[in-house]
Amino acid sequence: MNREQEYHALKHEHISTPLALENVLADAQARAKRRNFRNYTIMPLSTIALLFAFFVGLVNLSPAVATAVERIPGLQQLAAIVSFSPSLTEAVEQDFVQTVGLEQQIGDVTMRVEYVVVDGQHIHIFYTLESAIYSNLSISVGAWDAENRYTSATLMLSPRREENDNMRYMMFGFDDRLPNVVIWAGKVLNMDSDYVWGNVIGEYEFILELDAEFVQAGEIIALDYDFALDGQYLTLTTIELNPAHTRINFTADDANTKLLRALWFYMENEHGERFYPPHEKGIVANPSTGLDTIAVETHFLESVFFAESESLIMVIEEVIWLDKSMEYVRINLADGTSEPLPDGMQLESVEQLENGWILIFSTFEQGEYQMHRITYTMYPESWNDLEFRGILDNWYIHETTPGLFFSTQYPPVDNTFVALTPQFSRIVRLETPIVVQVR
Amino acid sequence: MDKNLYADRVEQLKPQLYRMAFLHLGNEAMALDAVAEAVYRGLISVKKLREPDYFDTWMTRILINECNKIWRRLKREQPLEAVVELGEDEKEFELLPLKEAIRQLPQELKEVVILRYYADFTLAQTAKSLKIPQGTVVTRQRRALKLLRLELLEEDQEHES
Repeated sequence: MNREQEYHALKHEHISTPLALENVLADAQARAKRRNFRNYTIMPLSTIALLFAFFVGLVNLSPAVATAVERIPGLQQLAAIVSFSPSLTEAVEQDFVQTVGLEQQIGDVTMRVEYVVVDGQHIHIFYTLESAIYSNLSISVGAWDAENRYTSATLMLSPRREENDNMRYMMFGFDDRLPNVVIWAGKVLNMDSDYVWGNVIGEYEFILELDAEFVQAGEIIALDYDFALDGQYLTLTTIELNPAHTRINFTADDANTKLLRALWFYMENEHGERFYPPHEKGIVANPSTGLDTIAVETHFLESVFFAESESLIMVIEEVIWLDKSMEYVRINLADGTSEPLPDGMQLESVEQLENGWILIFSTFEQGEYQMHRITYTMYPESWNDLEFRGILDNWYIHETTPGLFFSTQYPPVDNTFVALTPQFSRIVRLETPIVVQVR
Repeated sequence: MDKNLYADRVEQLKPQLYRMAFLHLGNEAMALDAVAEAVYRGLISVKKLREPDYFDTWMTRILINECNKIWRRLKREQPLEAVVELGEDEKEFELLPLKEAIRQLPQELKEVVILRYYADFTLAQTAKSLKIPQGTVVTRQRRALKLLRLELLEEDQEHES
């Protein structure tokens, strides 16, 4: 048989498909359901701190911002909005703002995109909604590139109820650096008629052609720096110096017994300027996108882009882990026992009531992380039964001396076991911080 | 694309996905793993797909990524001689049965051969699936066919272009 005959034979060769192929869709659907649940529980760690920053941000224009406001008409509202973020404020001060000025009429609503700030993998969009009829407007959002690839997620949007005509803000993160064209589309919603979901007034789509100068701005420093931390092995792969944020990317050794949940660190330049995570006391990081894990591989810091730093070091002071064996901790309701729990945490009691169960745990006080400690959620162990009866986030805290007790009430379940999904299991403050020379 | 439509399309496409994965990896269990992972990845990303017309190429791209991941893992976990990829010496490939020769092609050539000549993707579909320019597809398929000594397919390709 010559090669061509061999090819035709191979092409038409019957390859029997295994029976297990029949189940791949059902298995994927079950797995996706579990993931959706997990994502819900991760959110407080990864985004709430960012959102919180909005609430504490005060409008306080610096002289430099005031100058920028004079240069770009209508920028006053923008400057007020970005005041929550030192990095975005700096970008505005430096005129790192692209004026867009696109407008669409959607029913009785005029939607206008005023400005964008292009920021590595992020795009910050500033827009207005005007209407003589509707007083409480909102939008649903999505963003795509010119090849219809969707952005990973909406990372941040203004939590305030905005009055019509006021500048509104939102930010998207893409998986890769921003393309030259971003398609921003969604629906305009009237929130007066349905304050949760809103009623659709119409759809919008803006094609945002980004200035190449802004798209190309930034620097990626490849480090591939391997280091050990608390007996685990990590690699600091790249640091991306973007105009309004710094992105630090890690990978973890497959053999690690713990998942990285957060690092507490800062960068410092030769002038002694320090750059911290956007929300100083929070855990601000991105779960690894698209992966079926809650390991955190990307961390953010305030931007060093405009700081003219010849030399940069990174100082790691603290790490937060989740033991891989504790991603799901089973609790036996029948005998009141549990699999090993996170450091310092104990199951004190399990009590069956007429309408469910009460579980009481004790833990040591963890200072600023206390609130994170109680974001545990529970679910019936069998996912098939899961059409589940509410996520249990109603934890009741009982502060006592010397420890902290908290409890939760669980609805009646048929299963003997329930499972706990801790957000983290170990916090380690390093006696000797790890210092990495970045540049 | 919504999840119901996704489920329908996956049901239709999965035999073809499996055949591609099998040719790529040469092993039933690994091919099944690749398809299962690709179907899951597709499901959780389905909202990213705005144009259902691109479903096949989009799904194929996901599958190829999963196959590549498995192949890389295999190389890490097994002794080198067990999974070693040949260089680009035509004589080495010539001696192998075609199926094995394809499997031993460098990754970027193997992907192109599987899509173009077994999945019957057009040049444009192949380029879209692999996120590379069409010119790169042509270059790679020429290199692959030369290594595999498949002259007939060269004619097909030129006929198309």
